[in-house]
Amino acid sequence: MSNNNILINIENLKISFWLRQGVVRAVDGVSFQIKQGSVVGLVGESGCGKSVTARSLLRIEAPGKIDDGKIILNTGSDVIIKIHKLTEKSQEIRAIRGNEISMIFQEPMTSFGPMHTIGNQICEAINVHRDISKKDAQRKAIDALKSVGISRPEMVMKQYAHQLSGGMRQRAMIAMALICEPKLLIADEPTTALDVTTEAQILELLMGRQQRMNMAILYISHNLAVISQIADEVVVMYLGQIVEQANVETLFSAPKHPYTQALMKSIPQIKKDSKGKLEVIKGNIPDPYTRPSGCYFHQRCPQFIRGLCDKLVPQMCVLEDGARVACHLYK
Amino acid sequence: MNQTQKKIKSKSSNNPEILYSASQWRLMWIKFKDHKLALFGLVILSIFYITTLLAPFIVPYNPWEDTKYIYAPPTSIHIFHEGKLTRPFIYAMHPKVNPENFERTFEIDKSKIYPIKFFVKGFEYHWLGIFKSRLHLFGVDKEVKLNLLGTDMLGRDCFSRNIWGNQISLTVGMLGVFITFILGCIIGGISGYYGGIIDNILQRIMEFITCIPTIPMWMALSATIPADWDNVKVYFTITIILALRSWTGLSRQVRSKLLQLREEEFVVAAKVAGTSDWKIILTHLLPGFMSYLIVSLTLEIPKMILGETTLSFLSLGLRAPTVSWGVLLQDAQNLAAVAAYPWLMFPALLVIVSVLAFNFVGDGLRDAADPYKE
Amino acid sequence: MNKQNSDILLEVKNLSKYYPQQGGFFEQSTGMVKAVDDISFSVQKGTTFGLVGESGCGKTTTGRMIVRVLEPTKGDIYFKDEENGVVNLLHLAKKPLRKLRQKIQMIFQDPYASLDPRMTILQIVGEPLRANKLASGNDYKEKVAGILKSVGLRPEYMNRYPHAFSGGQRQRIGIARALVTSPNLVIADEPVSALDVSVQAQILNLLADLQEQLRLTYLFIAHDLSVIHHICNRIAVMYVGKLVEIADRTALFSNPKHPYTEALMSIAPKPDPHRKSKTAFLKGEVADASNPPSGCYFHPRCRYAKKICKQEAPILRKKELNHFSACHFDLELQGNYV
Repeated sequence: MSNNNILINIENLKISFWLRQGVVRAVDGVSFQIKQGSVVGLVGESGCGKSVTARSLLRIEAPGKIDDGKIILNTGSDVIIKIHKLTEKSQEIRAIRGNEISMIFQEPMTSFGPMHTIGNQICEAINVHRDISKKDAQRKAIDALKSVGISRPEMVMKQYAHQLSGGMRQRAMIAMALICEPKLLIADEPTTALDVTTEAQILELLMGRQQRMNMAILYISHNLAVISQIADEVVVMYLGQIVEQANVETLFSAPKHPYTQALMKSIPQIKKDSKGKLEVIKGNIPDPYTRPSGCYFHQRCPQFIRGLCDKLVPQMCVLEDGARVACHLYK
Repeated sequence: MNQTQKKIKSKSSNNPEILYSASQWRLMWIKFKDHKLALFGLVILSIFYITTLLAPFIVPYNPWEDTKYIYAPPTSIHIFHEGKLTRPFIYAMHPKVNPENFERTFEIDKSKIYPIKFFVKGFEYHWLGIFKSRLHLFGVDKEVKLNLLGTDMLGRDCFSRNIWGNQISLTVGMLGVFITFILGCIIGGISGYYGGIIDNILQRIMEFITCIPTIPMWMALSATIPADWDNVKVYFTITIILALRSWTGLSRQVRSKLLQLREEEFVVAAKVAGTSDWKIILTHLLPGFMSYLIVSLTLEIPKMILGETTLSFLSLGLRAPTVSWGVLLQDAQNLAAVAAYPWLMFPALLVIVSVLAFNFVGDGLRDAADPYKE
Repeated sequence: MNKQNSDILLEVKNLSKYYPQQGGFFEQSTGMVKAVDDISFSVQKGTTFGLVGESGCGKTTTGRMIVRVLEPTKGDIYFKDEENGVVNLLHLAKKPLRKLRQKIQMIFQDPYASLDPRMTILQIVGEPLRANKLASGNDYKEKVAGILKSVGLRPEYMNRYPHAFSGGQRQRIGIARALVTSPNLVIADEPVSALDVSVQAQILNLLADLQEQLRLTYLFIAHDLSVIHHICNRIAVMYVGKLVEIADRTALFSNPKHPYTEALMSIAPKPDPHRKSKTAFLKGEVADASNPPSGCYFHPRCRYAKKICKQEAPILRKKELNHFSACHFDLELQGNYV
């Protein structure tokens, strides 16, 4: 399904939030690639910087600021766009938003304004990027709604966002995001607020569209179970850095980084032989103002090596099975 | 943590306990300080109110003392005498009437200089009704008059009258606001907490009151004040009349805040804990909107100041010999007089500055009002 | 019913909550929304009873009725008080109800909304003590310090405000508040749904520990099946206000008897890329409580639906020992267990 062309290349990305009294480095040297047509899952807990990283691809990382690093979009027709160099309000980035790269959010109400009908808003999304007649835009919008599984698209076109249920709104948002057939869809926790049944349906919908359109997806979630269902490649982040990156099967069968291992063990699972207690990562996520020295995870790591992990920042290295880990245990 | 809390956190990184134990008032103050205009307004208001408190001390002349220096222009203060730098002084001025056109002029006598002295003895006053004193901040020898803002048609010192007017104009708002607060809280509280029919009825009554046009209502009510009532009675009646207008706005705010807070999960938690309804209102709901109330009240005060000024200006409020800014402005109704003697408009400047200062402070408070939301 | 009647702490019988539906210009009543419709179950002392279902199924409403912050429309709630024996919570006068509140407490879902931001931790956790006049002065502070320690927080923190704490710590504070009056029954309303994965594990472990130490009984409300499986002994599944299945944990997960339960298990994503969820088991959206389908509410989405399912609403019947299901048929279903 996916060819080897690299769609997005993120190199040593650093994003900070500048507050009057100090700087919080939300993204601290993140590098990874998204290949055309592949699904990359970005996993981590609160404060790991996954949302900010994703937003920077569309330059909506504000109020954060990109300090360093590169974001390169390869549109395939030999055009290379340096996203990190574009200004936030430029025409170039607006031509990309909704067109080459699209985004869906956790709360569908943020995508739809309350004052206009769904139909109006989807047509607007088309008209910004395509020069077609009003009638054609309407027809395209109805087709888009149908393709996301909405059974009566003509009716929904005339409705307002608050009149739809959570699942329907999410579907309409996906329709709007996919209408210009973007090469990359960024999904920022789109199913976290939904019921299990609706979540499964939305995931199925996304997978289906992804395969048909050969579209890449950057799927952000803190839910490892969801990631295992949808991703080809998984990137695990902790406190602004990537700790592990691997293909989904490798990650779940043989997690390398102690943080990934600990996360896996702390998820309750329905298994015949599940024991009473869950394994817990000791301590708490450190305060972003007082980041630990050396490896950010060393204070909570069950395999902490004194003198090494608290002094030296571990470098990312590639292992035999293709996994990349940033940990002193692996060289 | 939101932005405010992050800012404080890094400021107090030596002692993070400050942040952790910071109550909502402390967080509010920290946010308020950022608002430069509001701080400026606060400084101005402090100056005004200190002046009000010390009015009899600051004022050099008795506000009711008629003199023969009618419509005198503001006295010029000089610091050079015969080319030499000396302490500030004034010259004597003698009133003269031009025999041809009966125009009043003042002749300056440069022969003798009268330096301005500080902490002098002047007219006697009772400070706050307790202390008797004759001490004043500044003054000159008895033969001359230091009229910083000129005099009015009875020769009374305008500066003294203006500052004396602070006492009434700046405090009438306070009392009115206090009444507004009590009425607004009680009625808005009942409306918001119980809802239903009670809420409906109260809301309709309030809407009716709000629909009555303000100034005609004030005028009508003021006209009913008997002419023979003494100043104190009139003063209190005026404040009550002014408060009648503003309590409806406040009670509506209280009501909507209560309706919103009632649904918060921590209120449900308090119910589960066994706290009585009454205690829930007092300890959970009231602190929740106290900050908003303070903002509203702060913004009501300038309205009251303007209200009193308007009423008195229209001769419907306080009357002479009471001294307030509105009463003083009555003298400024005559356009010809104002053209010839512009210093009579000074009370208007005081009104403008005080109202602006209150509005700046209110703005700052409004921005700081909810330190937990961002 | 259960043979060990003496061990039942809470018994809910025919509990219902109906909301009048308002429509039209003058807001006349046009019908009823049955948020909770005729549910019955019992909870044994010292166990954890799970109430699972999707949004709108009525599980939160049920929890709130049991703590009496919501008035039921019909039904009874029986609680076995140590002193007074079995009482009907709905027939209690104000004063005895206040006293009984000490025995039944609640942990809330949202750690950010359930703590009053304007009060210190001491005031928040101590509120149940103050409201019931259980302690004062130094004794009061000591009790609060003690309970904070048992939930893993340092007592020195009691002068801080909620904004000083993370989500997980706030939830611990909420748990401390629920336990300070030494209750027998704790209603945990989605206590870990809003937390990060690693924090969720900590809180679940804490709840298990506390249950053992303090001999608590939990009514655990959640929508996540894996969490329910981890902590509950007996589970009830709800759909649009009705109870569709009740069974012990092992029985429910290895041998579900209701198509909805089977669907929930198949659809929930598992952290294993080789086991993809089977969405074929469940089509359509959750039924609208204000306009539910005829007969069995689940029939439009059910793989096994027949004509009778559209016409007649099934009642909760015994299928096996201690295993009840509201389905017309005795189906052999495959749970996604192993």
